[in-house]
Amino acid sequence: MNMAAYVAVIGTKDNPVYELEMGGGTEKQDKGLGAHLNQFIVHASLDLVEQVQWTSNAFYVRSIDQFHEMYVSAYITPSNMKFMLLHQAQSSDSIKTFFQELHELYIKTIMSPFYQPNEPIKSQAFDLKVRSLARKLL
Amino acid sequence: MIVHQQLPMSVNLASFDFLLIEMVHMARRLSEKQETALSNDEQMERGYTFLENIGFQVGRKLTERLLLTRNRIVESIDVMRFLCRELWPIVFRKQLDNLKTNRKGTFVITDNYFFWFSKMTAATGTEMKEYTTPYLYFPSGFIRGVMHTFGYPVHVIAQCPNLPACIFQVRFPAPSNVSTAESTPSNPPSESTPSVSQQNTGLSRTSGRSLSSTTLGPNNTPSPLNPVNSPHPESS
Repeated sequence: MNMAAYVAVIGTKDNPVYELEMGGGTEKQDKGLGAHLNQFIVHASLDLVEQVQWTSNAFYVRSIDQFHEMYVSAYITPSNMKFMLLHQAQSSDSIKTFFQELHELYIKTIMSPFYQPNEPIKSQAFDLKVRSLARKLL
Repeated sequence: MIVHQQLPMSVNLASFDFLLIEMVHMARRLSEKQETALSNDEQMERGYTFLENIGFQVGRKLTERLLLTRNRIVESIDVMRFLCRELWPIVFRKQLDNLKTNRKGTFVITDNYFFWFSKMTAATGTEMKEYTTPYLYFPSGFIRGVMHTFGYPVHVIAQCPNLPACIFQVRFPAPSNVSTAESTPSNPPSESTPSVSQQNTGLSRTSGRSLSSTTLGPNNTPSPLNPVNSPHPESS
């Protein structure tokens, strides 16, 4: 069940910390704009995330935005890192599990003394793990 | 992921004690090695800032871990509540003894038997201050790191009037300084407490946001944990 998805981890200053694209075949229509479109959509929904974060104290904020047929879901950590997922209307349980696992992976990354929070995550191991998570759950 | 053990954990505790001692010595050695034209005192300050930064990193990362199982903290009172009621028992294995606030942005945390210093003794009063001040940098950096995870760039000053008891003053920046870096001069007390100059690293957007949003909430109750942000309504 691997539909197209775009995962982004956004830091406290709206800086991208990590991005991952799992493409489906049908996304190739707007070739020039393809990858950037995902980033635009996620960036635009950051405002909504900020609005929503004061209303609930849960981590997983569900689906907050919609762009044509793509939905944006968000998960906010206590230290205000935002995990955003761009997807096409999937079951929110598996997305919630995905976010929780991503959160644990993120904390493991932070534990490293060589990594400062808010820096871009360049570790290949992290990338591989997120990919396998996405393949399994999304 | 986190197990809050009720067991003695004596190996952990002993190793941590030794680590803290050695870190202070190492900072001193490192600062002496640098052959710059600074005076001796300034070199020591550099070494101590180094310790404070280590404490800062540890505080940040530890809070991230601890917050995994709790819900997100939205109100700013809850931040102090978390620090005093949940974090302190976990890290220092006992409750805080006193928390005071002057409602204008400063909290004073008093701990009458500071756990990390429980094995230290010193002869007289004045000697005590001189010897314990290096050891206070790590805890104050630790507290600063904890607050930083929530987005509050605070300034922490630690004092140790009698050996096992420690007092930490946590000062939140005034709202007009939120967007600029600040290094406030040190505080009143007449003892030789070192004040650590602090850079405003990562000022997150939420710190500005939380100042304005908490004025709308029910935060004006006169409790000792009243957050500093409520007397600073932002004109939005």
